[in-house]
Amino acid sequence: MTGADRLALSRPIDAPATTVVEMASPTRRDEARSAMAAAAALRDRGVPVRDLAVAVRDLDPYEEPLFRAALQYEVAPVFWTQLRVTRTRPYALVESVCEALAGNSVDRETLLRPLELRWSPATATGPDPRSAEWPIEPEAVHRAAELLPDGPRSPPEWVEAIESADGVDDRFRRFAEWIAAAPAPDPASVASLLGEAVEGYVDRGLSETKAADSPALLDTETDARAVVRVRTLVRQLRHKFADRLEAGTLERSWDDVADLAGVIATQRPGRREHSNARALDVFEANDVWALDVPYVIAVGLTAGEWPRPSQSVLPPEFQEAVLRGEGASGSLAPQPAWVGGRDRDQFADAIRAAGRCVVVTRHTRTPDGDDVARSPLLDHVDTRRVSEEARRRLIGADQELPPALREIVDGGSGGDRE
Amino acid sequence: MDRRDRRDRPDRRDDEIPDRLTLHVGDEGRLFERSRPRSRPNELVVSPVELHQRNVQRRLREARLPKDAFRFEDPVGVCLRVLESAGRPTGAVDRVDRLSLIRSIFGVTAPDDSTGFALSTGAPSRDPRRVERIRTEVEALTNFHPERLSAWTDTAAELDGPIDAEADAVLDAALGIERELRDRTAEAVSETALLRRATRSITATNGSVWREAYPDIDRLTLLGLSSLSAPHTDLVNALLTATAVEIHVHFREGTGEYLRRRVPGLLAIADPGTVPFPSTEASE
Repeated sequence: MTGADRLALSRPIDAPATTVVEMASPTRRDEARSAMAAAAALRDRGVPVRDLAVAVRDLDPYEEPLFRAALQYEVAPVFWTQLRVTRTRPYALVESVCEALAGNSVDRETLLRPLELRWSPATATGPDPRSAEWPIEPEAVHRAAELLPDGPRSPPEWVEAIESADGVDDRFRRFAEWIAAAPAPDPASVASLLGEAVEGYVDRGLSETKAADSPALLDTETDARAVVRVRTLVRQLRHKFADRLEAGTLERSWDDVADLAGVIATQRPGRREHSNARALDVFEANDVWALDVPYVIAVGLTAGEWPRPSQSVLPPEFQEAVLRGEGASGSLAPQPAWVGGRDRDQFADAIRAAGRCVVVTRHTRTPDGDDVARSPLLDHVDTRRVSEEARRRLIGADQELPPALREIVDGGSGGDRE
Repeated sequence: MDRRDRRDRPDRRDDEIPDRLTLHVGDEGRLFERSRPRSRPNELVVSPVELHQRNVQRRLREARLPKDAFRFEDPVGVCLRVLESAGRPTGAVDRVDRLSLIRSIFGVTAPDDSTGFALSTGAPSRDPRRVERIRTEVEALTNFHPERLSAWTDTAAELDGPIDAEADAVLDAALGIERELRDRTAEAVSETALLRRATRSITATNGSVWREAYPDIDRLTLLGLSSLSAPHTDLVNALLTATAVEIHVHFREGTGEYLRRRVPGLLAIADPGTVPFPSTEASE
């Protein structure tokens, strides 16, 4: 290794001769719209959805704007990313059950929250003659909230309050009795009680989501994925709660169970979620490696986003010595990510994944209105820029494909690989 | 000069690469050429990113090529199988529990800030996530191998102050926390520790645990790498030393030319998987 070899990390990228179309938009939100409008316009011009993929360096700031834009252009997206399980209904249900069980007394809102989230009694305990009555309709929950007294009460007091309230039906009493009968949390009761809540949701709650869903069933899919994750979470919770009790780092309380569930749920698992073949695949850029699709829309080619600054804890001078690898440091494993190597790989692979054409998008302003530069990675490729006028026609009512893209779709030339 | 010319250019340093190791930059298409019907897989296709395995499977499916010759795994999965066949323990602390152990370490041993891992680069160094980041970064560079730990201090010594001391402080912090974690759990501290255990097991048994775990595998292909961490290098090293398996590494286009030149230096380590910590139990 010599110092000169280190330069291999900043050499021009050998990109295949795929056409690269560049589209700049003012803000991130505009950029997301431009990207989804391009996907929709390509689809409307006869490109099958499975021949399209969107690659984003980091989905966190883009998932929400891309999702909104997709709805606007009637594209069904599937995000190949970890499900943010804490934002799903099954998780919220588990959390709300812990909260309803926590402490000696709870207020009305806390008590009724699991019912808002479609709590249903588990069917495993036997056939339920009133199964059609679960989950309780949102209007009935709302009405009960108005009829029940305010102020904190213990679970047995809530059972009484429900019995003596006019117009609050028997299903509420059944739920309050379930809460009142819950044992103190130990690993087994945590698993069985929360497990019951999840299975009750599978039996009755899921179908509500499906009934209210759009034809592409995106919410249903999200809900179903969430159920799988929450089941795993309940199992982990049992073991981890046992460990923590033994170590003396947790109290035997439902509050602490809820906290622990939150800690487990917010860890990003190494596993990616499942997809749906008829929807538009949206990947993080690292995941498009080895993929082969005709059209790739690469989102976020803005300085500071792609490449992103390194998160290393090591002094930059030390990193540089390890990267050069002269003398002793030659045995230390260098991390090209320190100097944007991972971003280079992901950029090169996003371009390589595209058989016919890559559309790169970027934004030019921060939310505060400051200018942001074009990604230096774009200097490695020749791009055909879409004019602001053409971009406006693309995102507008006519959804007109910019000339550069139209040529590729219609002509088929210019997209040949090396 | 195009990519192919560079790849094929004779390179003195490539001579130092062991016979059974072949390094590629990109070029994953070669994998598809080896697809054929087989009763049992003979090639282990290993990638740290799960979706990369799926992408390869999707390409095979779209090209209507059989998957029979391949068995897909991630590096940890490979090591678990090796350890299982060796009858060694496979339990490891996960990240949630590791962060909680780190929190408890500071709770017990560091009642005041002065005993925390002070780093001049700033940010509160008792933040468990930051401490864990220090530990994993040092682990990725060194695999805690004694020769690499010396290389670290030698490299730091050549830098100007106060950066030399700062680099040493990072190393000390990582070793300190790894040691504390080992004291606090009977399981492996991390999945990477299982990688080391499998690496040592392969070397110590002269490859027999590997042959038991993967009797039909004669080739291992490592795919989609943007870096070659010390733990992964050491596993490759042990396989090259103690088994007959042929190894192909496919780097990625943006960093591959650089990384391939670093491989000989990374492999020049004796007894891969060795750690400088006292062996507290049979499982190490």
